Amino acid sequence: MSGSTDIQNFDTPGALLASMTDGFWHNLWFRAPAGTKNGEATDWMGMWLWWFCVAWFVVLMAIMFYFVIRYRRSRVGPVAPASSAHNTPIELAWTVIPSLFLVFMFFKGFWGYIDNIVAPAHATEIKVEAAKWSWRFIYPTGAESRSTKELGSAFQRVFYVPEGKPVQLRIKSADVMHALWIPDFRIKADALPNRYTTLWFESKPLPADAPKLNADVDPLIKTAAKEKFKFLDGVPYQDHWLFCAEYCGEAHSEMAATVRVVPADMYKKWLDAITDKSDLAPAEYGKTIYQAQCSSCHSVDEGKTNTGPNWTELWGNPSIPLAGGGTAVGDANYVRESVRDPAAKIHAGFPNSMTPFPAASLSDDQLEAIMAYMKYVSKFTTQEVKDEVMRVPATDAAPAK
Amino acid sequence: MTTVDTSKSGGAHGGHGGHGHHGSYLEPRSSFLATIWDWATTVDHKKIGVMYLFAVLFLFFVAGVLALMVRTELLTPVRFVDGKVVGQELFSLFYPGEEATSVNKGNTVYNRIFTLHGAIMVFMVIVPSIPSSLGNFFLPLMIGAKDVAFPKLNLLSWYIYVIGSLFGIAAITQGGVETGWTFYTPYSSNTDFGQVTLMVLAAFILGFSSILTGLNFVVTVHKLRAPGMGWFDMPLFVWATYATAIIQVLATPVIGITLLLLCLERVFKIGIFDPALGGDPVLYQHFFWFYSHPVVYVMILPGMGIISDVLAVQSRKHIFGYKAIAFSSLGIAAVSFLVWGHHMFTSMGEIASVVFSGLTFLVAIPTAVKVFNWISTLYKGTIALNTPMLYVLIFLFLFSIGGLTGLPLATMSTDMHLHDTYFVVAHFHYVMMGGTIMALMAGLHHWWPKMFGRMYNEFGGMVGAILVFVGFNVTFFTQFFLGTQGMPRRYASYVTEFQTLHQISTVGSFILLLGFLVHLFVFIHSLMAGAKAPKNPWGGLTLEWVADSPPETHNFPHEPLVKNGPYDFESTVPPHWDPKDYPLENAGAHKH
Repeated sequence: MSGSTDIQNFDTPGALLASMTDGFWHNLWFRAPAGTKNGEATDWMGMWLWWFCVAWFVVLMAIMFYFVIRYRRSRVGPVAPASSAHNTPIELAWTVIPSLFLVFMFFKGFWGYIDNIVAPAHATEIKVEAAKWSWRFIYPTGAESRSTKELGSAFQRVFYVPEGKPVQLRIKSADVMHALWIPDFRIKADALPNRYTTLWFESKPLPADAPKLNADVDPLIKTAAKEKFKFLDGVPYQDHWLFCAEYCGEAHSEMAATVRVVPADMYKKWLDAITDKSDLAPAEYGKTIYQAQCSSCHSVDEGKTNTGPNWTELWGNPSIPLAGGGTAVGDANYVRESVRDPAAKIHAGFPNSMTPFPAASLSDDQLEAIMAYMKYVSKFTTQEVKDEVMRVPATDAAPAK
Repeated sequence: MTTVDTSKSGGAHGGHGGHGHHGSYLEPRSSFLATIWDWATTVDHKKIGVMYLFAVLFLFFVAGVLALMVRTELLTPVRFVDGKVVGQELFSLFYPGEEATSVNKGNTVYNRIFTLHGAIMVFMVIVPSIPSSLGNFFLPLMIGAKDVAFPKLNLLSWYIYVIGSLFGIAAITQGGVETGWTFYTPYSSNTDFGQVTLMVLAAFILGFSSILTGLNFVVTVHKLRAPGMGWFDMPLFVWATYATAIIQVLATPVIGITLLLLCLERVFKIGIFDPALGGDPVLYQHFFWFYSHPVVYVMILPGMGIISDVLAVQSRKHIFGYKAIAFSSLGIAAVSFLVWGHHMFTSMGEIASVVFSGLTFLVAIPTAVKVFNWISTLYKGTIALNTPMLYVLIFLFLFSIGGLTGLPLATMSTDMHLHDTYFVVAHFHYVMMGGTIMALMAGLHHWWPKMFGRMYNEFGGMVGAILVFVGFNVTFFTQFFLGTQGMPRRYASYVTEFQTLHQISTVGSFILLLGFLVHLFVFIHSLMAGAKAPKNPWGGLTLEWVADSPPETHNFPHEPLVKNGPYDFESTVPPHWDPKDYPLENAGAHKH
């Protein structure tokens, strides 16, 4: 990955700050500047911690070595001179001052973490499934990538993502614990078999000297039927490693993938090219399941009440009122729990009368199709998201926020 | 100020002079078999401590060899060249003559090796290392007691340790395990490979050794202190051992239950951790780390106790801030129970992660204060530059790095990048090996003359220490960079960009080996032909230096009476010391 000279992220310019996200010391630790702005913020904190540790360590060790030399026995004699066993002002100082630094670290870490897990509302959601020992990215149109690249000792999948647009990953595992780590973006989340975890990123603009795609990089450019991917030839791109970061068995170290950033319009064309339009769109499929199994209690028409909550106010709702007080966020985990174990959280004002749907009667794939349909009907999702899950062809109109 | 009143014998040999003076605890019996029987049935804390010491050192070498195998495998990444697997150094060792057709078999060898390295080091080496060996040996001596509160329980603890270790060895010889020493579910509850149940039972059994030793030590400290020894007259090694014992008693049952639940999950499919059966895999992590975080303080607190004592004695100076260090040991023990979630930031909910991050920063404060107190103790001391002191300085250097590198891990945004990478591996090796093992080496050298009645070769000790220090840093500092640059942990192979750093790390590991071999040679030589040790070679003021080198069977001829603090170097002539060599201004009524 080429070094970036684009460091307009902070209000105070200067070589010193630049060295916190690029430059010799930074690249000694991180190889290259981060691929996202949030990643750069993480790097800033990382480098701040590095210099903090260096400063304290050097001071402590200098004092220690000075004392050892100055007060060595060959110089002092067999008996040490008198000295105090306490010094309350110093002891207070060296307790309070480090604590203040720790408070700073805690808050910076906390805010940076929140920035990394709360995606913008208009982020496109890509589902990730981890299984022994490979990754699947399932795009909002229901399609999956077919490109591969040799990484280590195996060929692994390549996932195209758009430059400069927020992408949310909703991650789960099909079997054991895995973890998704994109080192260049400085983000990581575990992949659990019973719960979704989420990450998001927005890639920085591609550098001016980014390499260009060709058939050596992605053979599908030449080999795909009907020259489906020919448009990719000559497109600038940047590849990032994606590693599994939770031990999962014999091929744990081979469980990798490549995240490939391309310009947003090329990404849209690529997404269109990989999507098999002869099959139902995710939201269409979800609609058929809804009609057969959910419509008797849940309405998708705004304003209509029924036995169960209305789905126009579900997906993406930041505060669903719960019976017994409190609220819940209408996210994938809430929906999954509501289907598998409805009694866990009851929507305020509605009865506790929904039958649970275990995996045997509603598979994970069907559940995710329902989620796609929920996105389609919800008043909290953007038009762009709705279009993706229903495979409405991309237009040149500006996307709604 | 008087020191302790004991036998008037001037010689360092046991067996003559004084009244009721028994032989040294190391004296052999009438026949070889009788000696073996004596050791096998002993309730003498010193013999038990020595047996633990040799077991721990032996297993340290075994697990160390496993680590060298890990590092050897990582010299080259695994690739296919012309359809053949290359770069799997361990494969030909384990399957000689066979041709690897896929990477998986060789990877499984690697996965077993790193799992066993971790399991042996954590459960069989580092946790018992200081408490069961030096703790057992010196706790009663330092408080002026004949033995621990429950000597027979002590022997039982030893045999439980032996049985647990045998279970572990059985598991290894029957195929081993490759789940990682953390046994995360659902992988560990479902995998067909190896002897997970047997290995988990081994750890379960070993836990009881820990609990019973902890119980023994708590009661010993409360009830068996010699007259005149109040709580604040105890050496800091006793405070540290006490705090450790409390954690052992309270935390170890949790891992016992957790491992038992894991066995029940595997054998009877009770459905507590496997989501396919309605369980929650993260629940396992909560249970596991609820013990495994406090256990890292079980590992480090006794080491800190050693550092306090060795530093004070070798600088002939009172500890700066005795009460601060004593209370910080208890404080660390208490807070250690509140931070386990920092091992799980990437799998917990957001609120839990925030809370654990904050609490983790809290535990950094008493730890830092200790380091400041130790360095302040050097001020205006009179510092002997010998192997124990060198290891104290090495500890301060390496443990500071280990502690400081915990900060980016406690910080949530940076942890998102660093979790489960080589950065974590480097961090915990700096605190566990750079901390506990270096402290063990300091204590071993410091108390070796007392334990075995022989001096070790000082030059050899220094050479070993320097090799260990250099080797350790070359091995593990490079791993910080590997982590930040993108190298995940528990990887049998890696992308080519990381090869240089891996090779440097491997070279370092062999320098480490050399250092420890030098120490082994120095210790063996000492036992066979070392100079006879005086009772108090360093001029310490605590009660163990009153006893013979090596101590007689019941430690002291009469119950000692304590008349000075453990670090009152300014006002007290050390026992068995020639006042001509240790003149004091107010040299009052001292007895030697």
